[in-house]
Amino acid sequence: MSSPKVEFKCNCNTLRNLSGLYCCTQCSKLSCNYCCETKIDSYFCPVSLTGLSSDEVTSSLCKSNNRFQCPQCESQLVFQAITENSSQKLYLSCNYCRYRSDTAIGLTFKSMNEIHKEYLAKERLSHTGNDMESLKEYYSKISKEMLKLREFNSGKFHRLLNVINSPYKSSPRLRKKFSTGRNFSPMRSIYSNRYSQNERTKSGGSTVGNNKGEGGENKDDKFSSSLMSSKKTYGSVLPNSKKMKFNYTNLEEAIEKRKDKITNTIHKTEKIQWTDQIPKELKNKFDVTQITSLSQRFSQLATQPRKLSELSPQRIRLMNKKSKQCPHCQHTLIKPEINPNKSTFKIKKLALMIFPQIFISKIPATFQTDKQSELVISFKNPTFNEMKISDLEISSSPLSDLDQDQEQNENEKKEETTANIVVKGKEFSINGYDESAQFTDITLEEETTQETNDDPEFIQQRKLNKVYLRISITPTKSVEMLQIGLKFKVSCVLQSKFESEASVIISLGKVN
Amino acid sequence: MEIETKTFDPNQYLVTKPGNKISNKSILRGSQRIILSGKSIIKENTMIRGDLATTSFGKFCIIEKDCVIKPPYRRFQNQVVFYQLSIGNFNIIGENSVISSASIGNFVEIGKNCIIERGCILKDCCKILDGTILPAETVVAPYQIYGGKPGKLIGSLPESRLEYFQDYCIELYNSFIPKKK
Amino acid sequence: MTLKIGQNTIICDSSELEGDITIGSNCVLHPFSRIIAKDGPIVIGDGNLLEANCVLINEKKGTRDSSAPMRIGNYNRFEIGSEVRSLTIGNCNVIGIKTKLERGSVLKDGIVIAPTVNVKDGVQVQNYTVMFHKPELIVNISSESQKEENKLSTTEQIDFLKNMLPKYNNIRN
Repeated sequence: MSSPKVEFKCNCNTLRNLSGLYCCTQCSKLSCNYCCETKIDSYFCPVSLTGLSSDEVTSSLCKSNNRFQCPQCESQLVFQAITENSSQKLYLSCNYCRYRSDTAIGLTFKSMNEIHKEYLAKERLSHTGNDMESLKEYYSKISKEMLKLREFNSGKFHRLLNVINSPYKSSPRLRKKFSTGRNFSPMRSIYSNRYSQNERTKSGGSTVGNNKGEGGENKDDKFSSSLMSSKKTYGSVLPNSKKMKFNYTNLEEAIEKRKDKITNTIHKTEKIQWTDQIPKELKNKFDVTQITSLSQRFSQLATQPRKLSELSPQRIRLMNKKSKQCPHCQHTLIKPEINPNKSTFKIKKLALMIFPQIFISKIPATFQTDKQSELVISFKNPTFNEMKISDLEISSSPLSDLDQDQEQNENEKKEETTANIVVKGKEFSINGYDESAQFTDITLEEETTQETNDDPEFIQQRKLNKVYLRISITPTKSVEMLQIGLKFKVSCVLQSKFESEASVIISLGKVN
Repeated sequence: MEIETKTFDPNQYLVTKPGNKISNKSILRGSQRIILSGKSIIKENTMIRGDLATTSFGKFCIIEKDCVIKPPYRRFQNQVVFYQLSIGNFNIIGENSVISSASIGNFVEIGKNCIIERGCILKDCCKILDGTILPAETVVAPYQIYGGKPGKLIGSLPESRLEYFQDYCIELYNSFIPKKK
Repeated sequence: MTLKIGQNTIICDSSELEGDITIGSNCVLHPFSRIIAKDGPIVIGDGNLLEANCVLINEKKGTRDSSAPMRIGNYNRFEIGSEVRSLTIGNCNVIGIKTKLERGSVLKDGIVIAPTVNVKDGVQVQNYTVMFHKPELIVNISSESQKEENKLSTTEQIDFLKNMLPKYNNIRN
């Protein structure tokens, strides 16, 4: 059973809760987590809650300097002191599973700096060790081969490969032709900062960009540096995997090889007749309690130990704060404070602070065909001033509004409407949010009902900054999920006058 | 959905002048050292141990049934010392959970059956899922979701959490009304 | 109905004691802790700490079960909301928040049981083990130093609580 819910439509046609949407006050368009442009603003350690500069992040390999994770249960470790031979020594201990670094692997140290240096040296080795270099050689060979291929082939398929492999180098015409939909790639922001800048120049937003003046280059550097840092965090795997995908030198051969491998492995495995007790041979071979789990191995990627005794405490990964930009006009929507302790933002443009929140306050227990039932929804004004809502339209076929493709649209229009909806009114206003109402007594509130000249069949009641609307629904078909779509215009006064449109979809429930 | 109004028996609850609604069946030990700043709800069978150290609550704290709130202790130089537990504004603590953290920020939601052991620090706008165990002295950064046994980072909350949760807490408080005769 | 209480033990007024109970010296019972000896006596050693809402019950599991005394050693700590039905518990153990020890389980020395672990009937917990959820139950055997650590942490707490509890609570004499 899915409970009734209210969802707003983002400009990229995804449905979202109002709390997950941002609203740009410049272009008055909605954007969600997936279609806005994100950029990493600052890094911080989630345990000690200290900020790190970008230099420190790269030098510490994107991990915390002095906070560690328990290898057994992945909770946070605590420093503790013991006195041995009249000298104080520190060790790490877990408060949950009682892991101790001194008894488990003999790790003790004199100061926090000492252990930090030791760990950095170890991890740098694993980063720049022999394995890494051999991998680099391997991939450089592949890339050279690919370049040769590109020179020889001029077919359409290979051109497409070119585009995907090097989005920055290829011509803008091709990119436009083959580019995937820009609004549906949440990871796009990681590797396409420069790309977006080009687009901005196209639209005539800024003067720098194609002209290689001084200002333009500087800006480019800034973007590329942020690009580098973001790649190091989680994007570094992406380009390699793409290269792997398009290594089609001998496609058929490769497939056959793969087939052989698969069949071989299938033949090699043997069936074990399952009995109630685990066979003795297996028991002697493996001690199940001493083997590490997958998550434990992943936390220690460099070594990936098999036995529990080989595990060692790991440094905690850093977290980041992200700033967000409007995808339509590039104004900043979210700009976080650098101090990791704070929960406030420098810039914060949320849809929750501008658009009215919609709740379902009264819903009939069951919907039945050809039977009129009453629905009451409430609008809540979050702003301090009066809000006007006009051109309220309620329809019973909300899906046809959503799809932009005309063919689909026509198909769905053929289907009959699922319900007849009657609303007696199109315009109303909502009172502003009054902060002093928090401190008034509840018992007093109920006595003072506001006197208005509203149509009682349209507006049920008013309460502070809320308006309750009556909607009568008579379903004509039995459907799995009855949905109704609202469309309205919002106009209110923020710092200046603000006007926007919104479309909302309310899912109500099953119709019998 | 809108929050349904819940009624309580006015004989069972004590409504103080700053707006605290405290159940008669709640257990407040050492009430000299329990500080409530107003507009809080304390429901049946919750135990608050003011006798060990001072515990302070901010505005709009809603504490559900069967909770135990106990100040944390710290060991140093072969001695145990209990110290202050401070809880900020706009918090919800779910049913049947045990809390002995050092500090809880503002706009924090703690689910049902949670165990938050001594010395934990919960920053603003974080969320603890139902049935989690936070081991002693863990720190939860702002806007993070923790869950599981033991508590691990699971995800992060949207930036609108503060506004959303403030409204939610005020509405929860206002919908808890005495029954009319 | 006999109640024997040793020297320097502090029992808060709102704690519940039923049946034949003997409590050793230097114990602390928080308010709303309960000891119920229904089908047999309960014997508690020295330096034990029972926190709020924790229950020690000596109760037959079925009609066939024979009655037997429940023996608890020295320097154990039972944290908030723990429910203990096992008949033999050794020394220097820490039983975590909301754990359940079923009747028929046996605990030895220096054990740490993490919160919400359920120790079932017939389980013998060896010396110096740690039981915790991750989220599946995991049993580890830790070093011998754990026993002393447990003992220290409980005795230190008891020393503090002996001074603190009588200030704000009524104490049973």
